Amino acid sequence: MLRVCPSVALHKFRLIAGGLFCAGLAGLPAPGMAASPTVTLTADQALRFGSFFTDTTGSRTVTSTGSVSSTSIVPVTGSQPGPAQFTLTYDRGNNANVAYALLISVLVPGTASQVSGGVTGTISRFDTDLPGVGTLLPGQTAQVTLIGCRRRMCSRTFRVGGTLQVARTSGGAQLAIPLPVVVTVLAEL
Amino acid sequence: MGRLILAFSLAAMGTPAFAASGQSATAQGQAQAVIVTPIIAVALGDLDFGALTSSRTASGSVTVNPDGSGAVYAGGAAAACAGGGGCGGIAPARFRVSGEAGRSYTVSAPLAISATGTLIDGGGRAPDLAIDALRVHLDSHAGGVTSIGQLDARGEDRIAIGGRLNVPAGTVPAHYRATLTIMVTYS
Repeated sequence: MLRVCPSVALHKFRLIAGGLFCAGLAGLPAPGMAASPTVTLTADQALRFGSFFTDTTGSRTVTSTGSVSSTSIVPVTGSQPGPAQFTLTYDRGNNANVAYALLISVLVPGTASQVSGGVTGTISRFDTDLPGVGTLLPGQTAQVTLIGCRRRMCSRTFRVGGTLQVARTSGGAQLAIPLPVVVTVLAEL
Repeated sequence: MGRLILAFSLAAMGTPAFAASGQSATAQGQAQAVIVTPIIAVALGDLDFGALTSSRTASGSVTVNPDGSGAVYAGGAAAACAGGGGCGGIAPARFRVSGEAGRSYTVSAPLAISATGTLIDGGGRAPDLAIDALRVHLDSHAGGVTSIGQLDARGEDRIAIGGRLNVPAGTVPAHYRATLTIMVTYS
């Protein structure tokens, strides 16, 4: 990157002012040479179904808003249920001070399940608090428009709930089921 | 100075927005759940007051301690095995509790129950006898009487329940039987 700073032939105070300004410019992308946009997604918190027991089969739903409902299970003291939380961060690659929106797709690639001893846990349905997205089925993408972005970095935190089906033949288990989430930025609007 | 003004203008304008498509990111989240082994109680032995005699004129009682220390007779009740043996069956009710190792639990038992009698002579029904002062003893609280226990490293505990059988004066000879139901829940 080539920068031309003010001439040293100026008066002393002008030289200082020009030097500072040049340093300020160095932190910004050159006009017309913005970096490529990037998107990152971080998993901030796990989807927690809490502690409970069931005789043979049961289910528990933890929604993205944190409400909990259960069928054929008995909750016990222990970890508290709560939705997963993810943060999407989009770097548009330049410092333009204009409002923009992001059209994104969200995908949970497949059914999340785990077998541990005599216990099988399966999550076949998710929900999020992303605007306009209710149920999120594994393998199906949901498109969302995120509005209100203005700065170079635009972040959105969203929560994911789900329904865990448990089948038990013996004993208990501590389930830790992988829950990958894929976010794709389809367009900057 | 003219160059300064020009440069500032460029910074404020920014650059044209790039179309962003196909930028993907994946986060490895996790779903967690703790499925606890259900808690159950299995009866190992009955609360047995043994054989006893009753007075025609004085009421009495026999108390079986939950700690297995035997029976205490009062009033017009006396052991029928005195001098003749046969009292070996006297025992508190015993249960085995199993579930998730280390978890605490609560046992609920009635304070009193009623025993129905079947007459020895003729097989008819005898008046009910009251069993009260039921007391719960947990192995996990050895020496203490409490309704809250804790499962050991194997996920087990033992419960013993004693009580007092009240024998009115003139109680007719009969076999008496009662159902003692307890409930265990994680606490």
